[in-house]
Amino acid sequence: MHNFLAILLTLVITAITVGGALLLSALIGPKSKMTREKERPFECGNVPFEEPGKQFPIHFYVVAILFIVFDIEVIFLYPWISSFGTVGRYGFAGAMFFILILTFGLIYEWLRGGLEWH
Amino acid sequence: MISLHQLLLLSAVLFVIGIAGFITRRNIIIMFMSVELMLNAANLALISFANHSGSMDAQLIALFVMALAAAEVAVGLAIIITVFRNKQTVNVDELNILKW
Amino acid sequence: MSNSFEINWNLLLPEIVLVTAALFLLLLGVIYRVRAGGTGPALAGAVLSLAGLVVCAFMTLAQWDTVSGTFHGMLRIDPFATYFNLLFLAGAAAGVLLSVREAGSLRGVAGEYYALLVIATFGMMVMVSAADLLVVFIGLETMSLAVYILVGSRREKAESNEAALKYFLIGAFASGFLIYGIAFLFGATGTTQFRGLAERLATTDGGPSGLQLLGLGLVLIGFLFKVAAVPFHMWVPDAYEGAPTPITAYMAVAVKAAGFAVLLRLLNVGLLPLASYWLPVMWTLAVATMLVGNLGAIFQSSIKRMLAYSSIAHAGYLLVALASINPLAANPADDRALLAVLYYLAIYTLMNVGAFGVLIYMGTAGRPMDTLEQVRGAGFRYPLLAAAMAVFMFSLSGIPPTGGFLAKFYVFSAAIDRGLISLAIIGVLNSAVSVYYYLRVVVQMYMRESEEPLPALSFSLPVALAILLSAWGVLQLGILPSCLLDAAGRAVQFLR
Repeated sequence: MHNFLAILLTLVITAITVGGALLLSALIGPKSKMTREKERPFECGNVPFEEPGKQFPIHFYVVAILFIVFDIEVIFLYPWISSFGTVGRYGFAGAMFFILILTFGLIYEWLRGGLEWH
Repeated sequence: MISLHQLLLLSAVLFVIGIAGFITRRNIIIMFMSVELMLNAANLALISFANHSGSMDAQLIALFVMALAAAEVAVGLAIIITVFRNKQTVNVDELNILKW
Repeated sequence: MSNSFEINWNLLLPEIVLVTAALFLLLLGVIYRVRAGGTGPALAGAVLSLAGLVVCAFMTLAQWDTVSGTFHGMLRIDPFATYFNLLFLAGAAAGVLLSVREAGSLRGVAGEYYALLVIATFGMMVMVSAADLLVVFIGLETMSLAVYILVGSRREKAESNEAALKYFLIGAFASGFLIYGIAFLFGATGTTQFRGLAERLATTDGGPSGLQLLGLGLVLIGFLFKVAAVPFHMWVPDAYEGAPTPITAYMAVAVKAAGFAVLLRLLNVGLLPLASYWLPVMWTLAVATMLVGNLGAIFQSSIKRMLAYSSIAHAGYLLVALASINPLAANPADDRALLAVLYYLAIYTLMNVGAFGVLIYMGTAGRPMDTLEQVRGAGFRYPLLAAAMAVFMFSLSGIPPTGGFLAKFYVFSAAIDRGLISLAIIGVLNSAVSVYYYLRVVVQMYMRESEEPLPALSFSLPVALAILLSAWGVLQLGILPSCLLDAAGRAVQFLR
C-alpha cells in the first residue's frame, strides 16, 4: 500500500493543478457567448468555400518546428529518470543544467517573437 | 522470439528503401523523409545490437540519434520553407539556378 | 560507476567559453535589434564573436602540453586536438573578419549569424577531441546543422536557398550512412570508443568479419561526403557558389579541415587494424578526386565555382597523403604522411582565406566579384589586391617559394617514401594541369584590359587584415616552414 501512495499523491496533485487551472480560467477569463456564427457547422456536410490547405499562415510552420525540437529534447530526461537512484546529486545537477539550456532556448524564441501568432 | 539476424535484415531493408527513395524521388519532402528512414534504420540496428549484447551504450546512442534527427528536421523544414517561399516549388529538378 | 562522475572541467574551458559567447551573441541579436537598427548589431556581433574566439584561442594554446582524457574517455585533449582547434579558431576568425563588410545585409539576424559561426566552430572542436564515435557524430551534426543555416543565411536570395537545400539534403544523407556504419561497428565490436575499437578489431581471429568491413565502409562514406571526395563531391560546387562568400571561405577551410582531422584520428586510432583495407580505398579515391577536381575547374568561368572544384582537387592531394600513411610506424611523428596532412591543411586555410578575401574586397554591393571577365585589368586598377591574389594563386597551384609548394612537396614525397610512385606521378601531373586554371586568373588580371572602368573600392580594415595575414603566412611558412612542422610533429606524436 505504501508503494502506491506516491502514485495516488501524483494523481491528486495533477487533478488539483489541472482542475484549478480550468476553474480559474472559467472564473476570471473573458466570457464567450454562443452566437449564430458559432452554431453553424464548420465545413462539415457543407460544400467547402475554397480548396482546403490553399493558404496557411506561414507562422504555423515556425511553431511546429519549434515544437519538434522541444518535444524531442525531453528524451534525454528518460535515461536520467531511469537511473535516478544511481546518478545522485551529480546527475540531478546535470539534468537541471540541461533544462536550463533548454529554458535559454525558450527565452530566446520568446524574445525573438517566434511564439507570437500573427 | 525475433532473432538478431531478422532485425538486422529489417533494418537493412529500411535503409535501402531510404537510399532508393532519396535517389529516385524528386519531391524534397519525400527525399527528406527517406533520409529520416535511413536514420531510423540505423536506430533499429543499434537497439537490436544493444538488446543482443545486453549493453546500454547503443541504446543511449539511439536516443542521441533521435534528438539529432529532430534538430535536423527543424533545420531542414526551415530551409525547405524558405525555398518554397522564394520559388513556390518543392521539386528538386526546378531548383536549377546553380548547375546541379 | 556511481562514484566515477569526476570530470575534469578545466580541459573543457575553451569549449565552454565558445558556447557562452554563442549564447551571448544570440541574446545580443534579440535585445539589440529591439533598441536600434542599422549596422550597430552587426558590428557588435563581430566584435563579441572575435573576442570569444581570441579568448578561446589563448585557452586552447595553454593546453598545448596537455595529454588527457575526460568524460570517461569520451573526449581526449591532446596536441593533435589542440593543433586543429587552433586551426578551426583561425578559420572562424577569418570568417568573422570577412563577414564584417557584408553583415549589413543580414537585416536583423547578425547576432544569429555570428552565433552560428561560433557554434559550428564549437562542433568542430568537439569532433576533433572526440575519442568515441558517438561524440564524433554529435560534434559533426552540431557543425553541420550550423553550417547548413549559414549557407542559407541570405534568405531573400534564391541561390543561397538552393545551395543550403542541396547541401542539407546531401549532408543529411551522408549522416545516415555514418550512423548506420557506427551501428555496425558497435555490433561487430561491442564498443564505440576508438581505443576499444582498435583492440577488438586487432584481436579478431581469421581476419575482419563482414560486419566490421561493412561498418568501416559506411563510416568512411559518411566522412568522405564531408571532405568532398569523389564520388561524394556533387554538392560542393553548388553549395560553394550559392553560399555567401565569407561562408564559402569558412566551409572551404574549417569544415574541410575538421573532416580530415576526424578522419585522421579515426583511421589512425580506431580503424588502424583495418589499414590494409582502407589504404587501397584511399589510393583509388585520391586519383579519382584529383582528376575530377582539376578537370572540372578548367571549364569554370566563375571564380567562386573554380575555387570549389579546386577544393575538391585539394581534397584529392590530401587523400594521397592518407593513402601514404604507414600503419606500422613505431612513432607516428616519424610518419611523413601525417605531418604532410597537418602542414597542408594549415597552408590550405591561409591560401583560401586569402583568395576568397580578395574576391570579397574586389566586389561591391551592387557588383559582386564572380566571373573571370570581371577581374580583367585589376592588376593595374588595384595593384596591391592583385598582387595578393597572385600570391594565393601561385600557392594554390604549388609554385615556390609559397607554402602551397612545400605542402604538395611533402605530400608527394611521403607517397614516394611508401613506394607509391605511380600515385605521386599522377598527383604531380594533376598539379601541373591545375597551374593552367589558377594562372588564368593572374593572366586576366595583368594582361587583359577591362571593357568598363573598374569602380573605386572602399577601404575595409577587417578584410584587408585577413588578406594581409594570409599572404604573410603563405610566404613566411613557405620559406621557413620549420616552426609549423615542429608543431605538427608534436601534434601527431600522441595520436596513436
